[in-house]
Amino acid sequence: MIQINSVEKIQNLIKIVKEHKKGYLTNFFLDIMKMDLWINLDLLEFEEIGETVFFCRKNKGFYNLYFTTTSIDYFINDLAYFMSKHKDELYVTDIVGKYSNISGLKDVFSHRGFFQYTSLVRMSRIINGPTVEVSNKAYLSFADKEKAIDVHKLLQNYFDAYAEQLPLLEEINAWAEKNRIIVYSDDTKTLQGFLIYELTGQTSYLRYWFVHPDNREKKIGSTLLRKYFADSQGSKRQLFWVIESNFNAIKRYEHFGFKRETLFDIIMINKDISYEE
Amino acid sequence: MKNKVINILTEIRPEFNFSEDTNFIEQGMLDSFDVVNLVTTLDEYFGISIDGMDILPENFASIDSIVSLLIKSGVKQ
Repeated sequence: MIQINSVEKIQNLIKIVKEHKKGYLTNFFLDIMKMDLWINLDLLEFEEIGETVFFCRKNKGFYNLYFTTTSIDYFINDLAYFMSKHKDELYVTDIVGKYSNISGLKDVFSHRGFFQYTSLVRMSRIINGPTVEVSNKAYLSFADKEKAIDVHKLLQNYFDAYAEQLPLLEEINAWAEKNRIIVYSDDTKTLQGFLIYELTGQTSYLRYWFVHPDNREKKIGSTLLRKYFADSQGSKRQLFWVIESNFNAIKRYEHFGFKRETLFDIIMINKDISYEE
Repeated sequence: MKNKVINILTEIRPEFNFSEDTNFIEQGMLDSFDVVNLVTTLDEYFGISIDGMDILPENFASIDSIVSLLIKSGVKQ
């Protein structure tokens, strides 16, 4: 594996794959800001095998595995060789797309020692409703640097690192600077819940939504969500990913007008373990 | 060519109006997944292979930039 030291290097590697002119199949969706951060922290490496470039992002005890290749036909052998070289490492990969398009890829990974850890489905809604009322405003605020650290700790402690692609503290600080982390703290001033979102023009993307287990059933979650809706009034589309088997959560979101899309994220790991709710 | 590009974009994201004179990336109308999807669709429809160095958000920010990219990739106007 070779360290990646610039975004231009990533683009050059993708260029080499595309120059084969045999197709373009990838799970590496270029987010320049995130790539810059990973590169600056020396977290991103690559390896070229056949007609595939494998990108590996170092994580805590495992790698997130990405690939850019020409087609499944070539990827089958390239993945086999890659895994034979790195069989002692733990890899988590996301296969994203419509189910009919990704089931072939899922089979390729299954045949190379990967197991489905969990799957997510994207939900979204188009906004054209009236302004949402927000209650308990006094307990809501935007995270400052101190609260951002608390949010980071809660993400690390309560979210699943394999399924959730947990953000680095630098990413959380960047969100906090843009007032994109809503926190709920009552009179005790302890952080009882938070919601993180990204707002890009007409699209608002709910990234993380959390209520501390000691504070459930107090309507903190719905208060945070309503504040998010109110803050996203300028956007046309709101979306997020949810664990496909979390039927209770999906039902709650459907109550707010969200609908399941046809986009799935199948998370696979080269170890026989399953996501636990 | 412009109309075909608008049709392809509308198939990917039917909830947005791509006829508007706006920056599709800054407006959140296309995300990084949509860009990959768009590249694959444009490659297949026009029989080209968009250069990897050109797969940057700014090249997909407007109809004009996409058309310029297609011409650069060998599509005849």
